[in-house]
Amino acid sequence: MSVTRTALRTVVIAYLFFLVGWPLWMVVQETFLSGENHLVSTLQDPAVRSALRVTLAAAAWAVVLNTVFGITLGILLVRHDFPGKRLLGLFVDLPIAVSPIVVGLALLLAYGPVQGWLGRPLAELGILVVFSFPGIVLAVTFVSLPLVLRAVIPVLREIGIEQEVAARSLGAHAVQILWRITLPSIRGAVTYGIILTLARAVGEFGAVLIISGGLVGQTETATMAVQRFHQGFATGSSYAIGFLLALIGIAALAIVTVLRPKEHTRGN
Amino acid sequence: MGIEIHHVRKTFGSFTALEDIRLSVPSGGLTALLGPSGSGKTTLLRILGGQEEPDAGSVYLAGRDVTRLPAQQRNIGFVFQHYAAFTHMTVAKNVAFGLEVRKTPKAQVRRRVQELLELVQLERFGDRLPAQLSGGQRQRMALARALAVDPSVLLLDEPFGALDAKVRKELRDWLRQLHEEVHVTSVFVTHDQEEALEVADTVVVMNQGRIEQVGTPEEIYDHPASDFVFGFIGEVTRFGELRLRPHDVEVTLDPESGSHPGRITRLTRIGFEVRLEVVLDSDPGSLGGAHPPVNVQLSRTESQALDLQQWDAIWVRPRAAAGGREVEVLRVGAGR
Ligand SMILES: Nc1ncnc2c1ncn2[C@@H]1O[C@H](COP(=O)(O)OP(=O)(O)OP(=O)(O)O)[C@@H](O)[C@H]1O
Ligand SMILES: [Mg+2]
Repeated sequence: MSVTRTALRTVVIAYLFFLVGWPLWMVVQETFLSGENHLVSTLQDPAVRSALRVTLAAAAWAVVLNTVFGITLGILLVRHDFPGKRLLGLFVDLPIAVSPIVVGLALLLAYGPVQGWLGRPLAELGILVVFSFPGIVLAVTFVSLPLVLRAVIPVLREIGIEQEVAARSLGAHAVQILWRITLPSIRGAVTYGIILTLARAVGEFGAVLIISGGLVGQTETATMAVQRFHQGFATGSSYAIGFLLALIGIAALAIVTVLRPKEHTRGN
Repeated sequence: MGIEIHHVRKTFGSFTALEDIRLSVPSGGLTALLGPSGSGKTTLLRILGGQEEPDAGSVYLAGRDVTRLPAQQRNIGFVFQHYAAFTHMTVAKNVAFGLEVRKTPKAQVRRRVQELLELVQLERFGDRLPAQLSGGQRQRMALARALAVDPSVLLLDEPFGALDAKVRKELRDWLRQLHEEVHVTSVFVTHDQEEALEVADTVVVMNQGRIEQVGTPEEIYDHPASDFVFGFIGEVTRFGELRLRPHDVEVTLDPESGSHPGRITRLTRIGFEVRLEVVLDSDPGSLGGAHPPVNVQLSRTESQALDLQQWDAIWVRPRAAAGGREVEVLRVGAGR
């Protein structure tokens, strides 16, 4: 191996270590090795358990909504032509281009019970979006909106319509083609998109901070609990929750890594 | 009761892909649609398959007007150039697909799939994925899949187009045999005249969206109905005002009646065949312009009997019974 390659490799490893590995390791250390096992004690706090529940439930909603949305829009964008298609393609990327805190503000304006033009009629119907669970779902769904879509589109393009045409000539109707041909062939991409969505939704902070109100034990999410403990000098607990969040992210990445190479060996 | 096509027309924008196509394909036959690239073969096949609608005219399959019938109700089998295998399903599942969407009982599906896999000699490969098959095997799988639903018509778009020469030849013979076993009315598209002449019992020659000629391979080869067909179906060489096949040129060492002197500028041996390029001393006709070299095709025995070598001076003339054609077209230039 040449000297430059060794040097490059060292630089990359050092970069990753100081930026990612070392800080994360510190979190682990603070959680488990600073006198007591903070994970166990923190999990006994009902507010923490509630925050974790809220986070996971909202993420699950985001996954379901964005999967349905991503697959439907993906098929629409790849397989059909309609006016405004390119614009729509740009528009759906907006949620990850805009800072989450801005997303939170925008949602507050639109869905707030007082001035929100959608929020007020909904509030009159007794549905409170802001400062409640639906608002959190809305925020995390919004910020992770295009992840399934973007995973699905290239695969849909690549498989083309050949198999669908073949299925039709064999007598399959539209629903059968969708279930038996299209969906199975994008399954890998959908899973990939789902995991990214999940990781993004679980880790969301800025948008939910603004729209959820952060009522402890009710509308507080895990990331917000981290912030609260941290500011309240209960650093052990904040590291423990941080550790759990990092664990979810790492698990998601591990699954993605396992799934990723398979995509390439597929097809003819 | 095979396929009837009445006055079918198809345009793409201002481009006419098919012009007044009339064709009757006998039931149980194996018909080739032959023509150069862009002549409209695929378009015609897609209209038969229901993937494209004609602008005018009608299509009858087995006596039924299917012109406006969607593809999935036509009961046709379609084999695609690039296999269109269902990549996430096993070979057996691929073959079973048409039956499963028809809600055929499981036991029956299993039996039929087994039967078909045996027919296409893939019985040992049922559990594999298409990606684990060779191109030839994949195309056989696609054929079994198309045959599974007992189609009244089998349509194949350049079924061997993506395969290498040797596999192509094997599959060609195999398709011929298979057709003798199952006898389903079949139409296949090709731009390879050898393939068409060898496999089909009826050849339809197409050019620029029209049908030039319909006939048996012998009729097409021996009695081409137009200059286009003559030129497309086999090699052609010019001798004065005549266009003829290179093997219809006779070579002699001495002058004979109607023969013309020339010199062998190239001599190539391909297996048992010998090809000559002969530059004539003067133009035997009166078309004017430079006369191109005459291409001659001989058997090795003939060549050896005359002891032909490069640069030999010889005499050439059309064979007595040569199926040559007067060449009006050469006077106005190239084209049909
Ligand atoms: N969807 C389409 N839109 C516009 N033009 C088309 C379309 N499909 C075919 N054509 C045109 O119609 C003509 C005939 O096409 P077709 O595919 O039938 O040719 P072909 O005989 O199958 O040629 P090849 O041997 O190259 O496959 C071509 O000039 C092609 O450009
Ligand atoms: Mg074609």
